[in-house]
Amino acid sequence: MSILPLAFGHAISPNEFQCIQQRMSLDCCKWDSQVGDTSTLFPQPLLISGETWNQLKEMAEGLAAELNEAENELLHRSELLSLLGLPRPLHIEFTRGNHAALRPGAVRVLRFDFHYTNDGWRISEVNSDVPGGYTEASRFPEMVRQFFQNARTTGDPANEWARELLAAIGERGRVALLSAPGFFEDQQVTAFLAAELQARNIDSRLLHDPSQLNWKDQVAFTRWNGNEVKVDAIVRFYQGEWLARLPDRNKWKPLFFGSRTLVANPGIAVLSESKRFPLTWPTLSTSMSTWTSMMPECRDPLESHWKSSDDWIVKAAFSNTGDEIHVRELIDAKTWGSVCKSVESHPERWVVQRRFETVPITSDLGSLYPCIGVYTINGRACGIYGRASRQPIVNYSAYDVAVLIAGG
Amino acid sequence: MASKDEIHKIWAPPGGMWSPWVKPVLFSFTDAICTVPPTRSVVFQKEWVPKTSSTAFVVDLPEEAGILWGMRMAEFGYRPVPLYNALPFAISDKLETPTSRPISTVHVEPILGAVVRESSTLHKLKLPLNSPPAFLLDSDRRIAKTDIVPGVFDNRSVCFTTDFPSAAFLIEHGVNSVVVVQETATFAPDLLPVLIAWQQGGIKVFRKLYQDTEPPAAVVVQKPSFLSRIWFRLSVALGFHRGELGAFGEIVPASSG
Repeated sequence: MSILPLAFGHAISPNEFQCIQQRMSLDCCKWDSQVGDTSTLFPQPLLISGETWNQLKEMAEGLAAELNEAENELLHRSELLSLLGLPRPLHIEFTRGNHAALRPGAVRVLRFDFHYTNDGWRISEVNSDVPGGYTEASRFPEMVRQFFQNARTTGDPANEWARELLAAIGERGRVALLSAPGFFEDQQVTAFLAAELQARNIDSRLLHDPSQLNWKDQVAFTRWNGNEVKVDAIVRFYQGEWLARLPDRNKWKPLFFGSRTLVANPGIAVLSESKRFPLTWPTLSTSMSTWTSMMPECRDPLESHWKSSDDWIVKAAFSNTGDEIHVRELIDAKTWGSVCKSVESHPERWVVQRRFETVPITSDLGSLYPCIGVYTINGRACGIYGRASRQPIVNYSAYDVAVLIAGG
Repeated sequence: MASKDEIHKIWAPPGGMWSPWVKPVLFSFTDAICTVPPTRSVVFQKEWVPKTSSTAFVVDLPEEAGILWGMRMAEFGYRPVPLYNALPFAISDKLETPTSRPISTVHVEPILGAVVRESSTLHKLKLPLNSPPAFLLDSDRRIAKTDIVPGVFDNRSVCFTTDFPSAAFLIEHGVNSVVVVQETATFAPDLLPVLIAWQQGGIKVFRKLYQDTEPPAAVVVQKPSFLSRIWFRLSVALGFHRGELGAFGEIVPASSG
């Protein structure tokens, strides 16, 4: 391995890789492996050392601990909530002071997006609300590993998630997995997680609207084989900002406030999901030293000359797939003009982040920019969702890459 | 009966030009217990079917009619490419009998059954790997056929531009026109951006009305108005029209009684 902490391994032969693709799509709910003209599963793994993995784990766990404390402080600092650019219905609910009704989640998943730069590891963001990528981070590396002697995976986030959920609800629990209707990328995640639960004899149902839950004395019920039954856990794979735009009659609020039924991820996650979360740090009493050392400077758009500079990235406060992340240098003038207009109209919905240069890694397809998404579940690092892109921004069309620890 | 791997390889043969675009979701359910519907007839006039390989098709017809039309196109040398993006039922219900599964908003199970049933016929046709494509969609995909009450499985879906090859890819592989086969004169709102992107990329678009004896008519696909686009984006994300996705889905609250 070179002096860089990560490098692509050799490509798996087309025939063998085709078998992996087929297993992923037919057995592991990877149903979106073709995006336009791009086949997203990448035949070369990224190899890291055990030492690098330990370093990433330590950083991710430090970030998770600080995030947890910061979220809890934010609940009591209503004056800071307005910095987050929350959708209005959520802002109203959070500032109403009913934070006592927010129950800590028994299963909390975070995914931190690490990038290697000439100055070391940096993070671009945390996927705090509805982190996906479980099958790509769990099953794909396991299949790829067989072609690399002595290599091992960094963990199995799906297994860890199921184990924690099982511990929280017991062996006879019933789980409802909620995702938005029509969003197939999200439905494949809940379908995969439901299959993981089924393998552990946990009964599950896929729901696509919160109104399919009935709430009685703050406990969720739904129809199950024709009968109304109590739900023991709700897996919320429905973005907080989307839920908040539903009418009240869709009964989305209990997913954030007052539920006695376990909700994972819990509603509080939406606070740190905001890309404007860093704007609260200077006034928090919580120490954010790990975050500030790893995350590039972020500013309110009103406080920077971002429009005339290539030193900044513009991000929507709520943007899950990278489709609302803009770099002037990478888009045409017309598109940049419309981004500027959107930001000027509603600066409170955007943030600007100082750009950093990810070190490109050579692959058989040329230089790719890797993003190492480290999962923590209940504060413990447990695996990596690797992606790589032809350009410095990683979005929905990036390649999914298995990340392996080389050398056993 | 063929395994799900074998069925998938028939519809998405290794090395096939259009195999990467075959949506795998239905094929991961071909090992489930499902009702395989008997062969039903579809209206199909063969006289107008282009003999050249420079035309692709988008067959946007309800339930299994898309598969059946695709099979007729296969007889003329076109490769059926299923783009069904919906679960027929939850994975946990695979081994349930069809009658004991929750009711679903869209009838995807007949499509699954047709995929299984038509596999052997498609296999026997031995189409060349580079046959021109006929992309198959379910025109009912966005519409709930039942109220979405607790206990109902909501499997509505939409298609996106990224579900199809780009115009550049089509042209590079000899396709310069696309015929959309459908029941109505208007294109589905989720298909519209696909057709506009193709048109902008140099692909000619034609429309063929199902059951109409006329040959395909050339159309210029119009970009929806600003307000229509905003409405569509909002409605995809949120859902307002009863039962319709991407102008879709207000959910009917459960009765407390």
